[in-house]
Amino acid sequence: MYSLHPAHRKNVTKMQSVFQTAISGILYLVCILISACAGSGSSGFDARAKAEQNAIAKVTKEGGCVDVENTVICAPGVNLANVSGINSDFLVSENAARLSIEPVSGARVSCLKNSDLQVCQIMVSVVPSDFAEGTQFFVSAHFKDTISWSNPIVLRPISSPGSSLSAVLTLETGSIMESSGFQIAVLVYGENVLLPENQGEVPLLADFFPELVYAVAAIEVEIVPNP
Amino acid sequence: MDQKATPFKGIKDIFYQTRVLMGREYTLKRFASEILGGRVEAVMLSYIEKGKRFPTEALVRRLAQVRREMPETLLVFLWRDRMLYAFSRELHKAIKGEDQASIKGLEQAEVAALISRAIAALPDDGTWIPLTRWQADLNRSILSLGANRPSGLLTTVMDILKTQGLIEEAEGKVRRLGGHYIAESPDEKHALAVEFCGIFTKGLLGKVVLKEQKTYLRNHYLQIPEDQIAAFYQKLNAAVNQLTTEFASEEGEAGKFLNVLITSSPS
Repeated sequence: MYSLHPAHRKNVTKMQSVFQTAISGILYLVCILISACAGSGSSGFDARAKAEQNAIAKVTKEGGCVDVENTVICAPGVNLANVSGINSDFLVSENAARLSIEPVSGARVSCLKNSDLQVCQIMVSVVPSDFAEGTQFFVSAHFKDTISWSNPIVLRPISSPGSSLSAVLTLETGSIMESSGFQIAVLVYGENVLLPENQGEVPLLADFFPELVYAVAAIEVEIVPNP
Repeated sequence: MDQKATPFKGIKDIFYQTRVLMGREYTLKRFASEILGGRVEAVMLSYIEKGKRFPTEALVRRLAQVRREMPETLLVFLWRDRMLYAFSRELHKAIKGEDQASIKGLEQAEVAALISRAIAALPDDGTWIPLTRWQADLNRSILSLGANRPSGLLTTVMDILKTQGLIEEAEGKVRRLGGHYIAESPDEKHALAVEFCGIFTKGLLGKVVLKEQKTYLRNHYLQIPEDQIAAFYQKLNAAVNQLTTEFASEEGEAGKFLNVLITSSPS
């Protein structure tokens, strides 16, 4: 065991006293320090997901389109004329192509819950105008605070070709309990391109390789029993 | 000594803190010769306190004797710093393609750690709180980094949070708009990666060497169909979000700052 020179013992004793005082002081500081903590958070590297979310927030607020590293994200109803980065093969007329989505951004929708299953369903409908024949539309959903977009499902004609298209989105009620805010993305594909069927959930819209995305955001879901 | 009080304490801080707590009369020269028994030159001790050189294990053991602590409680700081230094250097090559050995990476990791503190110091529900109170909280974390901390940390952290749209400031108040910080630039990625490494090595050394009971360290594994991995990650993320929100201290409640580092990757 090491022993200090007698001349230093007094200093060490003093130091121990100082340390004891310091421990009390630091513990006090810790209490002050952490008493301010009122929340939680996280950090990570998924910058592309943030860029997509920023784009959705921007088009929801300001309209128009945003190009996120070759994935063009637009607000519903936007006129595609002069929007760069869009494949024009699926546009009949560059001046007139547009699409509307129901529900709209900020809407509150009812999600019909089946009593036997932990899921509920909502209807999504779109009305495309002046898209080329063969253009295909899929819909995917994303809950706030989760990291994935749901497996896209195809939007089919409600009645006859050329009119509105619709799909029933099935949502897990567990996710809705955690957060009622969610987003919808309508993915547009031309003819003879790779479609996102059975691709599963992915963190990025870009992972579905759409040629164009229409997004609506800040939709509030309310679960209601299916009569 | 409670080392958990600071966001990112290293062996340099232990040396500096010990000398300062002994009193103003203990200059580098006197501390090196009288307390450390002349085992280190004053110039080298200065480098150690600034984090520019690592002390030897023998010197750390000597310091532990002076402080009447078990050597392992201080050696883990040295071991972690060495691991982080090596990791930071290799990561710098991987991210930037440059071979750069410096302590800057560790200083940047302190910024990443402070960002976590800054976010956690704001209410989860987005309630406005006085800006001065939040800045005072953040300043306490910054001050605890010691005298050799980089300058301008408060401004740096606030600028990053504003740029990322995570906080909003108006009329002398501040609130959080988001709770997830994303490292974007190569420097930010490097800093965050070193912070993650620091969290992991602290947990690993704490559990394996110090046998800390308050550290959770476990590898969970499973066979999973490849197309279910994204769904698994989504539910994992949702479950952890729910847990951290549920257990986070209410404003004014005491508690510890708990890091929960999760990594999962298919083999």
